[in-house]
Amino acid sequence: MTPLEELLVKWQDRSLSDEELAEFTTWLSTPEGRARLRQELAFDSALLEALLAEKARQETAQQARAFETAEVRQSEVFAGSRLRKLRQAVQCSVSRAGWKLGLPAAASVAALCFLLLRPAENEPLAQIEGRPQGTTLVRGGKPVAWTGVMAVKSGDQIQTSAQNGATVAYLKEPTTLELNSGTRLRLERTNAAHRLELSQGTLTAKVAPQPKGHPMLILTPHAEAIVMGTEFLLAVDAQASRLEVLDGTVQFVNREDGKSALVTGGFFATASKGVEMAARSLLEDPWHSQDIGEVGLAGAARLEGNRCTAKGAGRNTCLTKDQFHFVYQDLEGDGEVVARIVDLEMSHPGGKAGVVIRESLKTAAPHAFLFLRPDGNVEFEHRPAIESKSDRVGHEGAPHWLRLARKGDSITAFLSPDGQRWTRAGAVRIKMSKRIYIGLGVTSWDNASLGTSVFDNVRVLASSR
Amino acid sequence: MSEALKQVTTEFLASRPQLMAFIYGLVRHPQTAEDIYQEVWLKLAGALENGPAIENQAHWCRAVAKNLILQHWREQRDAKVVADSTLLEFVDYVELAFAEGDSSRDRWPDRQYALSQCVEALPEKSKRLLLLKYDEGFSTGVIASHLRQSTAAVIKALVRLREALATCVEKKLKLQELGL
Repeated sequence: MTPLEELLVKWQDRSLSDEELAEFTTWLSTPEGRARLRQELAFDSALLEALLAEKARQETAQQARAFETAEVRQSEVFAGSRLRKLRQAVQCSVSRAGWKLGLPAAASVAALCFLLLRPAENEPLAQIEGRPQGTTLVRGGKPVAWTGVMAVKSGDQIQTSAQNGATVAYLKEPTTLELNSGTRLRLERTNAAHRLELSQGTLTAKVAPQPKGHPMLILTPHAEAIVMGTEFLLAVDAQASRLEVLDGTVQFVNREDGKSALVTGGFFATASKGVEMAARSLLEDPWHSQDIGEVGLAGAARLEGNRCTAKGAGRNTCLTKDQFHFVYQDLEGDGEVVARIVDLEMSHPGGKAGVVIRESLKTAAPHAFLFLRPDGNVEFEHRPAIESKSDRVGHEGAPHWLRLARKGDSITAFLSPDGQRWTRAGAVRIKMSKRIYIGLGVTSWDNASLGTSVFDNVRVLASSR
Repeated sequence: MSEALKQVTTEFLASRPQLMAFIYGLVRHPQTAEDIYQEVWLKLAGALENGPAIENQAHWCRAVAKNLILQHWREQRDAKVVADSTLLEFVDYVELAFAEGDSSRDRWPDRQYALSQCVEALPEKSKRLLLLKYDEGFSTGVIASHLRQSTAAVIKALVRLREALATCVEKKLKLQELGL
């Protein structure tokens, strides 16, 4: 690498020392140096434009493919392409054989008709991943012997054991089904739509966008869930079916009275006798959740005891404005939030998940955010007034225990490997009103996708209550 | 739109590669660079309405862009940096470097087109690396940590990619000259 390239890389990284900047400047005092710099900067700028154009091209191609998956694979078009093949085959056999051989040609055409237009029902729909112990696949009323890869066909039923669950992955789309132990599920494909029957147990699903007009239909003894593409959990017992949605929208219909509710991310509904069919928040008082700032996709959160799964989009939480999903409680006076991050699923290295204290729910509110990045770095970000600053405070291996405490105008960040021994990671003075918002924050750094974080041991403690 | 504004706008758009190279080269943040570029046009349109004709539009735009960049740095509360006379001298030199390039024939549109083709042909892994650097604006240290590589390896990969792209562009321009 030439000295200029080295200086340029450092300039781009904003890591030039005073001496290096002086060296760079001296270097620019010659016309040759300036001409070279102009070329380099022009190349950089042109490269940025080319990369953005390429990114846009790829996104457009991806959207086109998704559209094709959704629309083109529908039966009419698919049948159309088969008919085209058939027509070509007829033309081919007629031109080759001539009309004298009309009868054998007609027989060939009939055979081709059967081959090309036969229903695709016998093609595998999905496969069971790994070899989960105790799981049984039933086809035509008989258990299927396990082979290397267990393919699931339309009409098959999967029964998990009382001890183990199983994962089912669809073959032609990125849909996955997680079956808890003691679950019985039947898979079927009719026309262009998937139809599932969950007769017992719990199913957690990530469903890829389904073709327009052909939603995935899931039947339980009490309800129908009509799914267009989403992430949800559906649990069935003898009395009720409960649907919890983390991402997207599901239409949930009570089979007994036909009443339905649209359940969106962060909400649940129950189908049972005597229970009103309505979407309710997955969070119970005193917990609430909402997106802060203009995020590209709506986030959601689900809390079970002190375990919280939160999904959030958003470009960032720094400088002057924030975009993230916030799961919070109101707090009067002093207090603290503690949580352990047990899982972090982010497609972007800029993603963040952690504990937050904010003065308000506005995008530019004073705040403190102690968070973990996907690369394992822990940072403490704080915005006393207009603009936030971030300090790297550690690079911790899991588990990640984070704690943020407010006492008067002072906010202190702590880290711990076990939730017992806490190390002070930083402290700032931020003047906030007496009433603040305290809880968990998640941002994917990508407005086109949601990042997911699972926290446990979540607790908010008020000192002055 | 008046005829004068139309003419000024046409020239402004035609000189986008040079002006953006100047702005982006200094601020190193795509969105901020775009904001400053648009702000320059607003000021240019305002100047056309209220003041005398601008003699050297490219020079005028660069001067306005430079002030906006310094203002942006001040708003970032990096007052220490802005007060640094070496940095101000550096910015002046960068401005001079682009002023000296105004008269040169750099074949900007051809180069841009060739570069787009070269970028399209890159492997996905290389595109991802370049996007992390240029689009997301991550430092080489952050990229290295994300990719679980050393910073030196990331820098080396970036420098090699730039060299490969520059060679690819030159080849394409040569072929274009030969009419192939």
